[in-house]
Amino acid sequence: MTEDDWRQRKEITDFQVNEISALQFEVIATCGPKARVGNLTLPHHKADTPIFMPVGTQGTIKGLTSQQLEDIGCQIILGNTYHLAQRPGPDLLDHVGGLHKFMNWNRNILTDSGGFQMVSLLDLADINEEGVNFQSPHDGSQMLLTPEHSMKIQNSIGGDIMMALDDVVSSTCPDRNRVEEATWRTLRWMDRCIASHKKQSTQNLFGIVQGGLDPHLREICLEGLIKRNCPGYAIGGLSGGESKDQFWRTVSLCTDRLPYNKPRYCMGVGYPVDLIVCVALGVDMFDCVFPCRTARFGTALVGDGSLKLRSPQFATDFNPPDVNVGGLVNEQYTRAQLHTLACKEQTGAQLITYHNICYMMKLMSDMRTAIVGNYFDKHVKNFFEQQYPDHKYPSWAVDALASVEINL
Amino acid sequence: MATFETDKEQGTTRVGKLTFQSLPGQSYQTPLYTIYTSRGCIPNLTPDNFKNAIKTDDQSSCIINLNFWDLNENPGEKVLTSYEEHLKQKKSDDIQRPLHSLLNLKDYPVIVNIRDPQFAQQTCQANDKCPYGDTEMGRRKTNPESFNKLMQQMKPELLVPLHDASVHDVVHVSIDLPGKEEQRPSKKILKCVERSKKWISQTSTVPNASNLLFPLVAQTRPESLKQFLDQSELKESYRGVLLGDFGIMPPNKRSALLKACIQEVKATKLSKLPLFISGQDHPYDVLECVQQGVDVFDGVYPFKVAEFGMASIYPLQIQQNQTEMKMNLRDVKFVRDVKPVLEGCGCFTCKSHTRAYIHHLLNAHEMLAEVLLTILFLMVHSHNVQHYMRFFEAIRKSISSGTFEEYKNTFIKNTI
Repeated sequence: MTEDDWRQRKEITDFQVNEISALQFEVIATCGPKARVGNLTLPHHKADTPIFMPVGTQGTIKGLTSQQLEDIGCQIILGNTYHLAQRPGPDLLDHVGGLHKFMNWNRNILTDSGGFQMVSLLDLADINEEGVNFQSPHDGSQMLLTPEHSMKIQNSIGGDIMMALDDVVSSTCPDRNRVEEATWRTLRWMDRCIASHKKQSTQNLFGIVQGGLDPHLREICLEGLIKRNCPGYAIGGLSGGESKDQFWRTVSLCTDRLPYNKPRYCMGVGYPVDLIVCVALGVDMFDCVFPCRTARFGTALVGDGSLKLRSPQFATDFNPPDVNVGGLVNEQYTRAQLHTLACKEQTGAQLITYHNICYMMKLMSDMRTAIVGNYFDKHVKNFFEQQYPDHKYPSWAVDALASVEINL
Repeated sequence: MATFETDKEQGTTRVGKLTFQSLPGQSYQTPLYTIYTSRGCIPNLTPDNFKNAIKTDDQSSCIINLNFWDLNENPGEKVLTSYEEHLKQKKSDDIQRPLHSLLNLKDYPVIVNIRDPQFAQQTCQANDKCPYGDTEMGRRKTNPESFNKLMQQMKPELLVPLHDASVHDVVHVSIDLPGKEEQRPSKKILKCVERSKKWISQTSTVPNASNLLFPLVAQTRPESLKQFLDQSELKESYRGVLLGDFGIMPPNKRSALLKACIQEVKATKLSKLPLFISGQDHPYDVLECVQQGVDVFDGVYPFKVAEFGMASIYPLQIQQNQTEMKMNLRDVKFVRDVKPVLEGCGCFTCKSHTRAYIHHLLNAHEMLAEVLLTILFLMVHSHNVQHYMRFFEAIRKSISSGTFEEYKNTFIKNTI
């Protein structure tokens, strides 16, 4: 591509502006320069931010029922559009009235655009201006995911929050031209998404900030999305192998620039340490497969790290997984019993998943309490002491927290 | 002490009530099903889902079936002793029933047996020295001394003493050989009887925390059974009779043998005790056995059915029209079917979900390997277990109202 071609493919001057928002967001407390607690009201249910959203792959969270998710306190769950498009498919979802009805979940659902799954799952994905071209893994036929198509599927799914189809490029991509191309294309696709989104009054379309690790490109994307007036914004293109130092600086840049009164969602984050740092940097929403996935391998998340319950040392450990985390599993089971069940009985996977999600809910609610109570900095320090009793804190976290006046 | 009272009898068929000292205020209505466990937990059902699945109008609890060989590994003597220490330090009341506490089964009575209900045929074997079982970890042995020690620690409400369950003979008789072969008691049977007499008497000494069942041996050979009963010490302390394994044999034959077996028992001091049977879990078999007077069952029927993605829909009351025993939710016809699995079923699955959703989970499994299997099994187990519990409730209701014969006959006649 020549320089001229690039300029021609850049931003078009008349862009789409999002007219309606189907959510309300109010910051009700702050602590420090950036951390905040918010009330997010979505079409199906309210949500308290900062919030962690468990990932359900095809309309189910790994062996837990909708009732159990409610008992645990989940307010938003994630559905993977790529999988849902294959099965059950948009036609069936239209027929039954959307994913909420299909899986009998009455709180909130957030759907991704389908783009990331394809890029990560399929070697044969090829991206051009029209959309993402790939070979169907079922029958080898050529398929194309366009912004319009993504909107159509997500409209059928009926999630409270939808994600725009973005040109997602790996954060470790060395080709600057490619990253720049992706930045501009994300904005053009955003216009196409807004134009083809048919249910603006009941579904919120979030824009995703791309731009790799280049602050200049991030700025371009931020400016472009902000003037399109999305109900909320996601920070995309991270958690893909970049260094943690680059990660936090990019997140921080975005939270500095994104509108104060709109929710910010950091996609694919993550581990408890990453979560707490990003909350300090001003992020409101998170998703990650980690807690559920690690549960199925027999690992329970606890206050000072994690427990590989299959390890023989737990055969006679009669403590609950984490006495500070409530819920059915901590009230009725011991590590010893979970040790027997882990990886051998389905019930084991269910119980550890149940616990891990309880842990994540508590992690977030403790942070919210600390922010509202104006002691978030102390809370962060306690958390890090618990996780790293030898005080060998990761330097990226030290730097990131220092940038918001929390000194470990 | 467990007590058993019969509430109503219709010929050989009867409803009754079991109570246990360890759970005062609770009674368990018979005929009833003792629920299958694997590694001490009910497959695929966490405690909250399990509570919903076992609820019927006339009771909300059940007896849990624990396999001795499972308990030998998990928790096993070492872990349980360690747990008892832990409870002592905490000064916890749970020290009264440490096993129940550890397995999170405090609300339920348990029955411990060496026979694994998972298999249609008895699998526990024995030689002159001791009984042995084949587990995932390999062949495990036990003997009266270690058995007694472990059971004293574990305190199950109902306990089956060690015996030789005559696997070979049951298989042999199941094959249904004609003629003289059958009449002569084999050497194997005589051995079983000898070993069992010894082991039963050695393991019927567990202190009163457990209620012992008297296990029959040679149940498939009435002559040998009579001898066995005559020569055994039928103590006052037995609180029930385990009728033994009839394996997979032709229904008529099983029926005749079962009848003969029960008659022999009724002619002894054990006549007033509740009758337990193992391995008869298919609804047809349950109905047949109930008619003959059996009170307590084990088995895996609802779980087996669920494993193939089938939902149980056999009738829970007398009905004249034809119906299927089960519904194959993989069938393409359910893709868009938004009705619940079974109209009128009050289980969690039927109240919250549709055939289309379960069909989707079954098919999505093809794409995402074992990820969704868990929730699928949870749904179908939940429904099937609830349906099976309702089935036993229907049996009890029909006996009480004098309509059992009709229920049984129309059930067998009208189901495909």
